[in-house]
Amino acid sequence: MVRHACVAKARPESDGSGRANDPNRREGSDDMGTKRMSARRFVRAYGNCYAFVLPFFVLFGIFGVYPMFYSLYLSFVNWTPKKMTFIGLGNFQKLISDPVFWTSIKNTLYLLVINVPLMTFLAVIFAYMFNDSRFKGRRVYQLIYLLPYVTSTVAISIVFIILFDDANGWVNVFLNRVGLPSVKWLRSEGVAMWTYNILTIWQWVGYNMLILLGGLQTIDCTLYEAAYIDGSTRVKNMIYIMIPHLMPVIWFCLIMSTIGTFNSFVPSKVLFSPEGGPGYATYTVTFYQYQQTFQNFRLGYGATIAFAILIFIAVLSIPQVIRAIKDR
Amino acid sequence: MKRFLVISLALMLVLSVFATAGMSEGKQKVVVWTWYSEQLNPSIVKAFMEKFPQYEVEAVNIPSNELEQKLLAAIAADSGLPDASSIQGDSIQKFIAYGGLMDLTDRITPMVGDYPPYKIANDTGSDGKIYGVPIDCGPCALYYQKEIAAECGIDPAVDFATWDSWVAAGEKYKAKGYALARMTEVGDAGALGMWTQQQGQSLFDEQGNATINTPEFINAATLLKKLWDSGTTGDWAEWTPQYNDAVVGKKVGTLYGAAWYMNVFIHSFDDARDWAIVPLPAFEGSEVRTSNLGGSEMIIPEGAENPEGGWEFIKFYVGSTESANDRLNALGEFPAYRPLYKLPEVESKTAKYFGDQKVFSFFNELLPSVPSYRTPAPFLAIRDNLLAPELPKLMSGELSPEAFAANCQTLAEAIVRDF
Repeated sequence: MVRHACVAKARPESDGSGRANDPNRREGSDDMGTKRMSARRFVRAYGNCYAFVLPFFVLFGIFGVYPMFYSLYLSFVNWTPKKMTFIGLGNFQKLISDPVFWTSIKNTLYLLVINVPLMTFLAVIFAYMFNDSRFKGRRVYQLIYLLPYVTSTVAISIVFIILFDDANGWVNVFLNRVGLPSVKWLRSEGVAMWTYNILTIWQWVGYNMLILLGGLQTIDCTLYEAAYIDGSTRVKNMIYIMIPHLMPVIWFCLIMSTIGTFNSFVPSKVLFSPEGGPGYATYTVTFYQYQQTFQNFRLGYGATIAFAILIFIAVLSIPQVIRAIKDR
Repeated sequence: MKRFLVISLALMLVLSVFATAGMSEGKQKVVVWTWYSEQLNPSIVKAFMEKFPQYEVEAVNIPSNELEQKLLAAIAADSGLPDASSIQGDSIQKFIAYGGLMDLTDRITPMVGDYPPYKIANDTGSDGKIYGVPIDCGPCALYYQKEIAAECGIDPAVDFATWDSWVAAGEKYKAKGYALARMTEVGDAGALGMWTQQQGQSLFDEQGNATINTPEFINAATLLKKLWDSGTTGDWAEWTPQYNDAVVGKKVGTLYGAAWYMNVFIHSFDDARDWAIVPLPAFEGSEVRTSNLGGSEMIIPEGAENPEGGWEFIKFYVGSTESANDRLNALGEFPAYRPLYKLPEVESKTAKYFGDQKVFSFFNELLPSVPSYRTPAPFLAIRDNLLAPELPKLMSGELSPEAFAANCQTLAEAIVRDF
């Protein structure tokens, strides 16, 4: 029988009245006690808490919310370094008829379709393996798989340039040794995106594995035990117990991976030469936004692309979020 | 007492933030942005500060591809501007169109004849004002390895006379196991521009409209395709260790490039020997045997804190034979300051990779023949963001040179409209 790591579920303490103890609940108030408090009492009771979280919200407001609304404004202007002109929907009209933008969207969706399901599948497998307490050295393996996630993508891209070099890269040297021809991993239009996928999956599978591992450990192990007693097999347990209970976490990983894929930029910039790969092969939408905003200094158009990215992420993520909520 | 000590310490820490570290009393700071400040610092900056003791130069090293982004951001913010900056010659028209560069016409007029006319034209805006001072220029030539050429039976006067004969000579190189030149399936957008300019054409007309679909561009695209299809090139990407090894290791017979490739020999091909330089092969029906590739300029942004200090530095750096000679010796540069080449020691100067060939005089003599070329604001967007990604369609045969030119023309017109 597989021994799964289980977490004992803690129950809230009770004072016998049927209500959980709330350390912040003040004498004389009921469960709706906060609403009855005077402002002064509220500040006295919760002022410190809000004071501690205030710096985050101030910074978030300045560096998160304000730039977002300012970007929305920029998408309606044409801004070169010395001149800003309001052009209404001009940037959006240009976006719709921009063939390079649609090529970058196509590339990004290609990345999404290949690496998100594959990465999530591998992460589930690894999480399942490392959840087995009999797996010797699983902590070490967890660390090894997590290391790429904590490594700079720029550093990884530079290493990949060496590994996947046409002539002397280790990958091609290995292929030649086993009798296979070299592959132009970085310079062939048809292959460049696969190299991109390999890098992305290798870098992010550990992060997703860690999240799924946490999810696995919340599954009550008595469910597995009961299933085994009834004659279930390991595979059936995976399909009928593990996956359904893990679905909220899987949905979370899928949503985060979708957002991450749309924000993918560094390999396009660093890994391939010319930047963006041969023949637009690895032009992702964020790379194209960077190019327009910072290389061509078309700030208004760059902001428009940013909002297009937001719309695509929303369109792809919202159904996943709805499904995740329903599954819960 | 303890509280007094704590407060004093805190005050000292706060005040230390405002201290102007390392700045000598009474000196004016001159901030210079450039991408080779490590080489600049030991010789030129020191000499400048000795000659002008009232200035203290802070040379900031910023990689070339980042410098322009930082400069654009500083111009837009009108803050954090340098007092002088290098920029690539291909970009200056973009900065002129965007605004934010100081008009240097009055300052440079007394010395405008000391620079090649095509460089001054490149630094001039549509308003007739001059906004930059040329640092170096890139007249192009063909470099070839003499031993390999001798082994392959190459006669430079015949085999390198025209581009067609040069491509045909590739068979001689191939027969002996050498590559004629380097080329990859992604093509070479810089070479397209160089060959187009050699024929007297530009990617833009005088009004700034895209003029890609021209016979000259089609000739350049045809040459690129022919070179690739000949199978006589080595599959090396430029600026890679593999290509450097191929040059040093005598695997490649020729390379076409600018005068500043002599600087590349110092930094990337340092063990190469026995190379020679001849004029570029000509296109059929033309006698022009050079073009231009690259080159950089010095500019002063409007809003610089110390524009006078910036101008004094620029004059010293690119407007004097002493510093031009320094750059030539230390960096292998080809300075654009022409009085340098009248000096006897420069006239007869050789370089270690090229035997006893007087290489600097050679390039100086090519300068008057370099055709002018227009690089308005959308130039880099078209060269790097359009031609470079579209080239694989030409190289793979998906598009003929004519269709490639027509396709690029359509896409370029959209880019020009955006600018």
